[in-house]
Amino acid sequence: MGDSGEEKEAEFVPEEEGEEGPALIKRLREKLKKAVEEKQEYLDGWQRARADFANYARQEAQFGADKEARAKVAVVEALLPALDSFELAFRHTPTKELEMLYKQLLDSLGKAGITQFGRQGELFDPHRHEALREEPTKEAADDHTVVTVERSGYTLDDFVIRPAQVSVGVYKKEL
Amino acid sequence: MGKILGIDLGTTNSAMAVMRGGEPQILENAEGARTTPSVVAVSKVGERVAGLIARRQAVTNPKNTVYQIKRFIGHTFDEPGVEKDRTTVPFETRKSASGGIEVLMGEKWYSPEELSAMILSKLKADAEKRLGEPVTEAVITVPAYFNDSQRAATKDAGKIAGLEVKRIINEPTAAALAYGFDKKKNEKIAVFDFGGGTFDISILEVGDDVIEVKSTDGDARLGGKDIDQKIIDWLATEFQKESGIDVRGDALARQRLDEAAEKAKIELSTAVETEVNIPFLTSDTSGPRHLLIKMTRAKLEELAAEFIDRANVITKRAMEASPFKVGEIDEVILVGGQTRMPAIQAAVENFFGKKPHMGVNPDEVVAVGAAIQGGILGGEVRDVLLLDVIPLSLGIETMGGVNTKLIERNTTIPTSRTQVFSTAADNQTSVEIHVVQGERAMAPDNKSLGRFVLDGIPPAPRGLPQIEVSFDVDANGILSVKAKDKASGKEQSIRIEARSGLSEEEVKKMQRDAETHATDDKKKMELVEARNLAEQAVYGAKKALTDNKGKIPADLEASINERVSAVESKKTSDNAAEIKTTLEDLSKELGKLYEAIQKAGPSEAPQGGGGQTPPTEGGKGPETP
Repeated sequence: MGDSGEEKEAEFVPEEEGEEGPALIKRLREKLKKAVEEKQEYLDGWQRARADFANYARQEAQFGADKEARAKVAVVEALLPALDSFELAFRHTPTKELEMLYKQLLDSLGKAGITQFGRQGELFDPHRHEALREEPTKEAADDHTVVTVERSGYTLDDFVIRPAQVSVGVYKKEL
Repeated sequence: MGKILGIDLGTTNSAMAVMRGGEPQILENAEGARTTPSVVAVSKVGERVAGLIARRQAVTNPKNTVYQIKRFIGHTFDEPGVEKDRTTVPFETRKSASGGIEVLMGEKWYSPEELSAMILSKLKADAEKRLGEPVTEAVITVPAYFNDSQRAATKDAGKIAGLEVKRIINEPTAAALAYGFDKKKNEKIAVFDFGGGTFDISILEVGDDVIEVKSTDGDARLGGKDIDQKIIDWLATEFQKESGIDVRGDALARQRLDEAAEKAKIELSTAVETEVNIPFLTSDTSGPRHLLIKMTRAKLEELAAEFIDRANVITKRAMEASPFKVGEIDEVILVGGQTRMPAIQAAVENFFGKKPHMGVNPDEVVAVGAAIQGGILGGEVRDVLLLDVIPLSLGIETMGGVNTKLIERNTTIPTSRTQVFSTAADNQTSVEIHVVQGERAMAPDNKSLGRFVLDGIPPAPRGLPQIEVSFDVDANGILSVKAKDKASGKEQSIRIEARSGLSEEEVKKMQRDAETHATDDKKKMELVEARNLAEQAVYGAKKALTDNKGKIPADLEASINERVSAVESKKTSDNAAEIKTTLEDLSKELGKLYEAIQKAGPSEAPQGGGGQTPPTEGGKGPETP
C-alpha cells in the first residue's frame, strides 16, 4: 500500500490569536479560492476518467466482436506465402490433381468467409488492387483495367486482407 | 473534452496515438495498420486518396502520386537542397507566386501544406472512426533541424486539415517524453533515429520543465530502405549465379524479393540464420525456377556495414557539436524500425558505452510521445493522478484457516470489493473477521493486519445468514473493512493505516515466499477444502436422516450411518484423496435417500434440503470466534 497521512493540511482555518476581521476574511477568501480551484481540477480529472472508462468499455465490446475477424485475418496473413505458391504452382503445372487440391483449399477458406478475388478485365481500383506494373494494350477498352493478376487478393467479408497484385493496362495507339 | 491526437508526420510513414485512461495508445488506421504511408494521390478516375490506397496505385499513376512531401514543406523553390529533391521525384513541381513550391496533382497545383494536410485529414478521419468522437486538436512532431518556416508550414497543414495544432514538438523530444525522461532533471539524452528513409541523431538536455536540443545531425538519404535494397540485390545476384536469369526487371519477382528481404531482415534480428524461400520466382524453357537461399546474420551485417558506418560518423559529428562528452550521456533512445537490428544496437552501445532504451516500439515511440505531450497540454497527464497499485493481496480468513482474497495484488487503487459470506455452525451468533495481507493460501502464513468481531447475528442454521464483507482501499492505501449482517443490519468495521503495512523488503520477501510455497500451499488448501466438504456432508446427511425419520428404509438408514461414520473418522486425516473417496461413497448413498423420499410423495419433500446448501461461497464461512 502506498503512503498515507502525507502532510495533513488543516481542513479548517483556525482563528489565530488576535487576528483582525479583515485579515481573517482575506485568509479565508484565499483558502476558498484555492479550494474552488482544486475542486474544479479534481472534478475535471474525475469526469475525464469516467468518460475514458465509458468509451473504453464500449470499444472493448466492439473489439470483442472484432476478435474473431482479427484471428481469421492473422491466420490468412500467415498462410499467404503458401497460398501464393500454390497459385503459382497451379499456373505452371495445371494438373487435375493440383486443381482439385487448390479448389478444396479455397472452398474451405470460403466457408470461413475468406474469398479470393482479382480477375482479368476488372477496372483497376486501388481499394482492392495494387499495381505492380503497367502493360501497354492496343485496345482502348483495356485502359486502366486489370490485364494480368500476378497474385490474387483475399478478403474477409468486406475487409481487404491483401489487395490483388496486378498489371494495369495502358492504352497506346501505336504499339 | 475531446482528445488531442499525437501525430508523427513522417517522410515515408506516419503514426498517431492518443491518451486513454492516462496511458498512450497507438490508433490503427482504416486499413487496420499501425502506420500509414505518407502518400497522397488523385487516382485516374479522379478520386483523391491517401495512405496505403494511394501507394497501391503509384506505379500506374506516378505523375499524380505525391510522396515524401515532407522534404519540401516550408522551403522556397530556389533553395539549393530543394533542387536535388525536385529532380528526383516523378511528379511535377513549379515556383509559386510567393517563391515557394507547388506540386501538380490531378491537373491542380497544390502547396506542400495542402498535400501534408491530406495525409493529416486521413489520419484525423481514421482516428475519429476508432475513437467514435470528433478530433479537433493535435500535437504534431517535426525533425529537430526544422526551421521556423518549416514548423509554421507544418502547423498550417494541420489547420487546413481541420486540426488546431496545440504544439509542434521535436521528434527526439517526443521520444524522450515517451520514456518519461522529461522528469529527470539535468539528464543528457541521445536519440538515435534510424528510420525507413532518413537518419537523425539528436543530443538533448532536460532542464527545468523543458527538453532542449543541444545538437542535431543526420542524413536525409540514409535508412532501412538502403539495407533492403542491398539484400534484394544480393538475392537477385545469387539467383542469377545459379539460374542465369536476371529477375531485376520483372515487377512481380521484384515485389516478392522485396517482401522476402524484409522478412529475412526481421528474422535475422532474432535468429542467426534464415532461409529465403520463394517458389516459382520465375520460369524459363526448362520450367519453373525457385529461389532457395540460406542467409546468415553475418551476411546481413556485411551488407549493412557501410550504412551503419555512415550513421556512426554522423553520430560522432553530432556528439562533437554538442557541449558534452560521450561519457556524459545518461540515456540513449532508439527510434525507427531499423534499430531492431542487433548490429545497429551493438554499434550504438559501443559508441555511447551504454545499453540503449528500446522498451517502447521504435516505430511508434514518436507518436506516443506526441500523445503524451497532448495529454500534458489537455491536463490529462498529471503527477497527482499517478495511480498506485497494492503490492500484496488483501483477504480474510475463512473456514479451515483459508485465506480468501478479496482484493488481488497489483490492483490499481482506489478500489473496493464486496463479497457475501456465511456462518460455519448452526446458531452461530457472531463471526470474527480476520484481515490478512499476502499471497499464501493459508491465512496464518500471511501477515495479520487486524481482526474484529461482528455479533448479534440472529440464530439460524449454518450457511443461512448473509454476512456482507466490504474492503475499501483509498488513494493513500488506507484499508477499511466492514462486515454487515444483512438480516439484522448490524455492522462492524475496522480501519487499517497503510503505515502499519510492510517495508519494501518485506513485500519482496512475501512475494518470493508465495512463489516458493505455491505447491505446498495448494496441497494444504485442497486438504482444508476436502475437510470442509466432509464436515458439510456429515451435517447434511444427519439432518436429512432426522428430517425424514420413518420414511427411509431401515437398511438404507444403516448404510448411510455407516458411511457418515466413515467420513467422520477420516475427516481429520491428512490425506485429501482419502477423504474424497469416503465422501463420494456417502454422496452415492445420499442419492438413494433422496430417491426414496421422492417416491414417498412430493408433499413430503425434504424441507431441510435447502438448508444444507450454504447460500454463497460454497460453504466457506468465517470461523466461529
